[in-house]
Amino acid sequence: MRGFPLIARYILIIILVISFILFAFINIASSTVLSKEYVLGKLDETNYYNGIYQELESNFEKYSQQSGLEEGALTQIISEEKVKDDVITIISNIYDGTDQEIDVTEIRTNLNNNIQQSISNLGVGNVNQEAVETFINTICDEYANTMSHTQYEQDINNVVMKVLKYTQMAKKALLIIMLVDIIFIFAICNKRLYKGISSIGVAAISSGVFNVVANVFVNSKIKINTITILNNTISNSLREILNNIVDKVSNYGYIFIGIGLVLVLLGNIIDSIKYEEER
Amino acid sequence: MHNDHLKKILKATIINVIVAFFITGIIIGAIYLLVGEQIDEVVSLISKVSIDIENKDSTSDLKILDEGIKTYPEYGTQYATIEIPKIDVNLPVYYGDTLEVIKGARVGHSSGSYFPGEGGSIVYMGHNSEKVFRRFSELQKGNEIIIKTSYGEFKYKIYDMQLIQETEVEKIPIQKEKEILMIYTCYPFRNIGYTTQRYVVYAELEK
Repeated sequence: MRGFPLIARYILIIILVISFILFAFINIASSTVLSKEYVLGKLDETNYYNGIYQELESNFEKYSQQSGLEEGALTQIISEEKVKDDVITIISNIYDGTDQEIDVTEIRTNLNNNIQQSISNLGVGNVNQEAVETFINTICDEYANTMSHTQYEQDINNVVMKVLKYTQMAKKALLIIMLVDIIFIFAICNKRLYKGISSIGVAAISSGVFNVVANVFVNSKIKINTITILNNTISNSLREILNNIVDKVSNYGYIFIGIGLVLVLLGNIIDSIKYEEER
Repeated sequence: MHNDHLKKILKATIINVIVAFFITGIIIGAIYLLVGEQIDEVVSLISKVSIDIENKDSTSDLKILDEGIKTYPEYGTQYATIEIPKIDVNLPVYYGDTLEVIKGARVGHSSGSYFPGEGGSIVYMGHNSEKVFRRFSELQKGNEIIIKTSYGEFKYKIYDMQLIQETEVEKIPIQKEKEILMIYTCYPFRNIGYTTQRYVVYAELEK
């Protein structure tokens, strides 16, 4: 029976380690991919809006020659400001559940004006209006598709909302678990306060080491800086966010290790002082 | 006395750190046993979208071999030039058929067709813009088309021209019995907007 408190203490330490790790990961997720402000900030930092604007201009250029229009007929039909506003609209649809659509009226008007100008400059007499309309629709669709890259904003929003709800619940539950766990650790350690402090320190060091190992694992297995999805602009922003998350994991690790070492030292110092007093 | 004190603290701290590492090991081991396979799957899935551009093997330089092409070009890269003296066309040929590949003054090579020298259907396309194929209407039977690649030069003679609908893919057949070059562009040559017709030039390899 003498071994029971020891086994129980280690089980409680393991539970505390797992709680610390989960709490760290949930906090990281909440402050990064699950935060609209963070995502918008990162898009700004990685020059996402300008990148998408350039990509759109380049995509339009592909259609320019196919259309038979003059070179430059498809330039300046959108502004970078408009692109930025529309990106924010899509991000809001995902994170806030709004249902705003991308407004292509401005593009349609500008494009129509450019086409009429081009027709007049080229001296084309007989114009198939239906072909022009189809072309304008193609360009507007190209804009909307390049902007959102997904038709499932509402579905993604539903998932994000659920995840946000569950992370908040999980955070509260973990805080309670950690508190109860710590109370039990001190209860098991009876009057030996130093043992309780050392146990929490051991749990913190263990969580920290886990986070650092997780960081090393991800960096060794996944080449984040070469991840390529859809295009360079999206890939750059995604890489920046992933790198930031991986860095945060290791930062949490170092903080845990630091706090753990302090607690372990404190516990052992108290133990040593008590031992001296008893002698 | 003071040293003993420090030694005791240090020893206890080291033991605690070792215990912490041991616990981490147990947790990592447990995770690996429980979800190790899933982790490997996720890593492999992410690795598929991780493209190491610097180490990518460039295959755009074709090897010159007696029997023709041996190393195919990378999608989206130039591998040949096309000359049509009759209408002053001298353009680069890129492997690929998307709008991205053929933007600007470029000719695209349909990825489902054969390469010059392979003895089958070769399908090229380009815009009807002034810099590309706007003057296609001036071409006549017997005119020459020259394709220059790093593995050889190929001369073709035009034997037919046809106006087809974009859906009539059977009029640009892929076969391997005879080397035929088919080049198409949008029609009318001076259209504005989206067009559904294609003007196709057929040429056969000169003996």
